[in-house]
Amino acid sequence: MTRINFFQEQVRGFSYQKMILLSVSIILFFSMIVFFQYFRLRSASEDLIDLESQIDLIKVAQGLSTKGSEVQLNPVEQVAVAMISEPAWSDMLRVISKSLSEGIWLEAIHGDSSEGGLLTIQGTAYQARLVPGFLDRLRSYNVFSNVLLLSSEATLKEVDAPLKFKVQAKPRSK
Amino acid sequence: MQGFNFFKTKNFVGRGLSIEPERLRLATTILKEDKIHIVSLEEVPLSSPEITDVSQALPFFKIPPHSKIAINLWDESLKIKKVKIPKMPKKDIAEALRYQLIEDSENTNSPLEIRYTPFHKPNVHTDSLEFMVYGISKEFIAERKKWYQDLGLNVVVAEPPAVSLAAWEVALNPDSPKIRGIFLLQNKRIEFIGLQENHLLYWKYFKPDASLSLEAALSELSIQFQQAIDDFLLYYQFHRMDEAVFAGDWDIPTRNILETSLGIPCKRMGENNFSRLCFSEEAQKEKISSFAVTLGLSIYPEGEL
Repeated sequence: MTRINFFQEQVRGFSYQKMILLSVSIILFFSMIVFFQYFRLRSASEDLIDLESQIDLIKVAQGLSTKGSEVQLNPVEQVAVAMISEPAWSDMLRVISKSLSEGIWLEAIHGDSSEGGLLTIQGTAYQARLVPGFLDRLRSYNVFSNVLLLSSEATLKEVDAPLKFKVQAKPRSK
Repeated sequence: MQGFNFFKTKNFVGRGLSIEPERLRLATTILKEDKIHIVSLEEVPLSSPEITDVSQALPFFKIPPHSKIAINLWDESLKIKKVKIPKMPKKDIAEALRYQLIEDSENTNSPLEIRYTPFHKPNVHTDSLEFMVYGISKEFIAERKKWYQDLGLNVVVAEPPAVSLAAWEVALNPDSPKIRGIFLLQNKRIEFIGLQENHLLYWKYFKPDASLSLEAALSELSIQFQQAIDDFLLYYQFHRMDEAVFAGDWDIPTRNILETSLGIPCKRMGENNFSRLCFSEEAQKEKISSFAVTLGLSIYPEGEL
């Protein structure tokens, strides 16, 4: 039954009262969600800490304490870890591969990651004149900061005899 | 206007007070077990030598202080009309309806306070909106508010008599014939409302000629009644009215005369239909018709306050 009351305001559609009420309701609603999530997160993190301490206790009880022990990696894993850790060995190997030319073959590559890293390349060039080109190409990439020829030794006493060489390069710091 | 829903309505205002030029009427009701219990129907005439003023009459009712009261609000400026406007944003509707109500009415100088209800469920396919609009002078409302305050009444509802009357009829006969007209017969004012399936569709009021004899007045009025009914039927393209109901102060020999002249079944409001009512006194049954507006006011749902 639709009744009429002239002593009461008829409010339809937009009104400031409605708008304020709506705004307050929205703010309250989101505040409640935030508080709810906050308390849920806090309780979950407390649970996690409890769980971790329980796991530690169990491990200690079984003599498997994780603290202070090192993870044992197999050789493949060691190489993988080395490849993804600093310095960027994978980039260096890629540059060496691109710098090689026909007539040069490598015999050993040694990498040392201490003090910013150091790479030593040992190989043989079919002709001595091929070595300077190889060094130039290594230098042209923005990977090494210092490329040095450590030693070279001709295998025969001829002018254009094959040449053993040893190159040292330092990775460029990022 | 929807049917009176006993199951949804939890409580009434409980006290309806109608202030008329000749008398004051107070109806006290309560809702109990889905029935309207009529606690009391009291009346104080304002024509006796001792009581000439409302403030003198009110103490006879012994209204508890601060109790909520619904009151009838009638003024010459009252207008009830179906208004059709083009589709527009909600915020503009009230102003458009006010403008339309003033535009359609004559002699409206004072600003109107309006209330409105959607006429039917909104139809998305139409380009227009229809409302029943109720308007009354703002000045009159302000004056009445102050007057009731001065009288020490806690008036929470002020409703046009036509709406209270329709509400009471719907409460008594929710399953009555589809199209009915109700005449509220009072000495200085007669109102006619048209209902269809418990929706108030039409309202008209006229003043009886006090100088005429009852018979002459009835003859004159039956023409006016017929015109009101014709207006209602024509406006809504209804073929016929199923029933005419009479309420108010007039005793009915009028009924037979009107039944003959109008050619439709006529009955007095509440006649032999008390299935939804409980009375405190047997004598109250006789007063149902004359207290129709007051009772309608008393059952104003508290939930709508």
